[in-house]
Amino acid sequence: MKNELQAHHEATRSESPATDAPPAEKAKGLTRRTFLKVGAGLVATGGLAVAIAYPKRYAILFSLMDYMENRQFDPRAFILIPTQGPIQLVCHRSEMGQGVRTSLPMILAEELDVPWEDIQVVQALADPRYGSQNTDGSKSVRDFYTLLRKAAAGTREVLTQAAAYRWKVPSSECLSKDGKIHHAPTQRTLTYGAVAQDASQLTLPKHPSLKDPKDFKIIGKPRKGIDIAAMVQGKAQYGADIDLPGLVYACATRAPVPGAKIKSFDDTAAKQVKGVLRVETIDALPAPVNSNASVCVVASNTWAAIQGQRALKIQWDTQGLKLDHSPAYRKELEQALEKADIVHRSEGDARRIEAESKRKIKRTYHTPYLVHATMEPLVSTAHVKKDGTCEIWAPCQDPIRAKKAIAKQLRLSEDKITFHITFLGGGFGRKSQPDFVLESVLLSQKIGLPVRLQWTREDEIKHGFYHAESLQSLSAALDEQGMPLSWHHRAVYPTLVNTLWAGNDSPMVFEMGMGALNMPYRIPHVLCEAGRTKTALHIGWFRSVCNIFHSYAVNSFVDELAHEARIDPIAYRLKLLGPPRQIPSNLETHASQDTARLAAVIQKTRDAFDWNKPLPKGHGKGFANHFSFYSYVALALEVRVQEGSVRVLRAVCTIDCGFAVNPDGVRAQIEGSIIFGLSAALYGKITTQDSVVQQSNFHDYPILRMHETPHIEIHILNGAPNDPTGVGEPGVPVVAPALASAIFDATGTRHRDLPLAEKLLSR
Amino acid sequence: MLTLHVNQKAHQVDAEPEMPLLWVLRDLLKQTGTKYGCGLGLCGACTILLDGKAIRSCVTPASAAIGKQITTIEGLHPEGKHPLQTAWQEHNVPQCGYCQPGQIMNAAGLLNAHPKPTTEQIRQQMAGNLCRCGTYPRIEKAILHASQRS
Ligand code: FES
Ligand code: FES
Repeated sequence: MKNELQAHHEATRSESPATDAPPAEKAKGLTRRTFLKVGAGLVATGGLAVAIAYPKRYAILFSLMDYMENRQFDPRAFILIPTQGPIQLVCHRSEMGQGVRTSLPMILAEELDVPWEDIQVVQALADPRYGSQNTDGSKSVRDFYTLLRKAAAGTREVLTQAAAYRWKVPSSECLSKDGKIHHAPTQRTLTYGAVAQDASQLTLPKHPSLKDPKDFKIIGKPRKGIDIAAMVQGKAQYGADIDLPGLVYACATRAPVPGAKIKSFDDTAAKQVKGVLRVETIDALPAPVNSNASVCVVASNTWAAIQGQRALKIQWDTQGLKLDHSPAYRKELEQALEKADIVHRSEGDARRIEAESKRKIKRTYHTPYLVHATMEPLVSTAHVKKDGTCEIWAPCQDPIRAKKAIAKQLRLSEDKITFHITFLGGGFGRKSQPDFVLESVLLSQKIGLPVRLQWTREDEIKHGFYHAESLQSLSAALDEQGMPLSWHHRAVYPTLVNTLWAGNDSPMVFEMGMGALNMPYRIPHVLCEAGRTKTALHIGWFRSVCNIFHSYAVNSFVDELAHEARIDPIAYRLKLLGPPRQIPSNLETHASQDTARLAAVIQKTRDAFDWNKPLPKGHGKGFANHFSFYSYVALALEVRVQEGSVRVLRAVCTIDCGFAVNPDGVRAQIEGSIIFGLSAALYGKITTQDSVVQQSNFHDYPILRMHETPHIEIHILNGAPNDPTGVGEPGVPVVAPALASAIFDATGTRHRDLPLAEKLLSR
Repeated sequence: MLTLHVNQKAHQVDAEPEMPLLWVLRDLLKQTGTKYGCGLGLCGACTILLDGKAIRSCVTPASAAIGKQITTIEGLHPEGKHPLQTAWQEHNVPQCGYCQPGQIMNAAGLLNAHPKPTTEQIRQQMAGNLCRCGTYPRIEKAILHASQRS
């Protein structure tokens, strides 16, 4: 353990000296540490230290990654006050549609006491002073709410103090308001800009006083996206919109399978395409970059590069590689599930109870690989310059990770690398992988020119970091009322940790902790186990990650249990939750849960949906609830099934995200999550033949369209005032199980295999 | 050399006649408001107006625009205040924003053909434009709103 931590510390150390944040500002980091302690408790309960010691190690490392990055958090880096002109608030996280360039500055503006209309938002460069810039895990607001409030409140205090010095009055007589300091007794005013210079000489207070939430003017009030005016005029700059003098354009044909090598290639035809300048090869980079070997066509415009790419003839060498074929891989998963024996949670003796029971039920659920399909395909512009510096413009979710990889690859110190983060045309986890950035850097280094490497949609679909395929079984022994006495959950899917450290063959505890081992129901005997499998594909983070398939299996199974018991599925869930209780936290990925808050979102959704109202013939209703990213969500759907096709008519969703900083932003995220979840549940499916992904574009990887979108109604509960939790992801996991249950309600047929649209057609 | 009329201005471009308008606009004329999403006419991110009709610029060769008026998101309104652009902001439509120029141009084509579309017409006409962020409910409201106002 110790060695790994040291190694990790080395890896995360930056060029600039690490400024140790004051204790209060490490609040979240400390919370994590507490999780780690309780996590150790989990091991003891399970009593299988050997079996789970291995995954646990990585879970702890994940927690520490953010902790280490946030140690370098510098509150002074976020607010820039010029002598004249608008105050600039820095957004240090990547904007990919989740509204972070609005919500984070809202937090700063509130505590700084500046009117929203008077600020400008500046996008941060990749820089360790901002703490973690890894925009992932629905944690931008959750992790930075208090840190940013303190940064702004501290700044307001030193500005006030600077004005007081200038006026030679006690600072207790001075008040900040609307970007100015006022001294009421003498009716004098100074703008923040006028005292900013003086204030910058003062030390920020360690414990500034924060506003009482009831005095909030900005936080908690619906606010429109700060960039929407630019977006609707086509002025927002995304990854492919950066122009540079002498810029060249490139496309790459990548090895169809990770690990494959270039055997030979013929670029004669490619070079004859008008506008093609040259053809270059780039080597594969191992984990944690995971880029494939490729042949790149460099041209004077993107179209020529695409034409050139299509004209390439390449022979690939796949010798010695494990190649997956979807039907065969499914069999592999089935066998692995039978042997699943890595215990992640064990209470009582579920196996014995089930064996001795007369009444039991067992079901198996399968979900396929999914790909992100961000509207903006991957793209990155890089310039490795002759003076030994490097500049990047990329729609990147994790710029620090990319920057470290570039520094290592180019043997440059990090201060020689300037990393600009553009708008992201969607991210969903794909753009936290640095592969596309590194490719552009290597190509620029090779040709000595600024280059934009554009992925086609086909490249994006075929070279993803996929959401894992999964197979899960759930079984239970039932009492006379049809309530479970035991619960046995087994899951097998390839772990995503291999993109960071190769060689692992089973889900990590942080993956199982996303909805499997922390399922909230009160059942006396619980056993949760994982199996072993490996895939040739890259597995990556995908909006709400393992919560998707865990929630699908757990919610579907509970729905099946309710049906067996002839109890309404919502009533059954509430009964299964039992009296309100706190489920203690274990590791980073499963915080403590308050079942009363879960019950509240369930009840709110039930009532708003008017759940007990009879539906017309051919219609059905389905329900699901899930806790993830510290937030509670419930969803009810109404569908109509006709002639082998399903139409989702209505969605009613409730989220308790603690405290909504920007309620309209929360609404937008839940609308988007429901639509994202419906795309996956109805259509999402990536298959392979000899490990080559068979889908290529939106005709064979469809996503939901406007005419298929249900009417959506959203309710927000603030269940923990002043403690905002995740919003971008928690709305996704409830969708597939609610839809499958609604189809069952309408048709009497239960589908345990996703996606659902093809199941209905094939009947 | 081809002569193209983009947003009321004539441009001489050195492009092969079969080069899709999308890349002519983006790479040669540096009008980057028009986006690439699929290259096959499947997603609508590249939608522009050709003589007032919404088309997919990724599958429309430059030659098809000779003698016609091209309108892109940059030229929809001189100050960016087309009723659709205003309604889009009132309904806080964009999330990542990447699909939105294409959505707005497709909606502009719809309003040119049907100034007062029904909800059903909106849903059918807009079905060709994908939004991975899922802003459809707001797009629908914004179009309805804009059409009622104009
Ligand atoms: S890029 Fe033209 S329709 Fe998708
Ligand atoms: S707003 Fe992101 S794809 Fe539409």
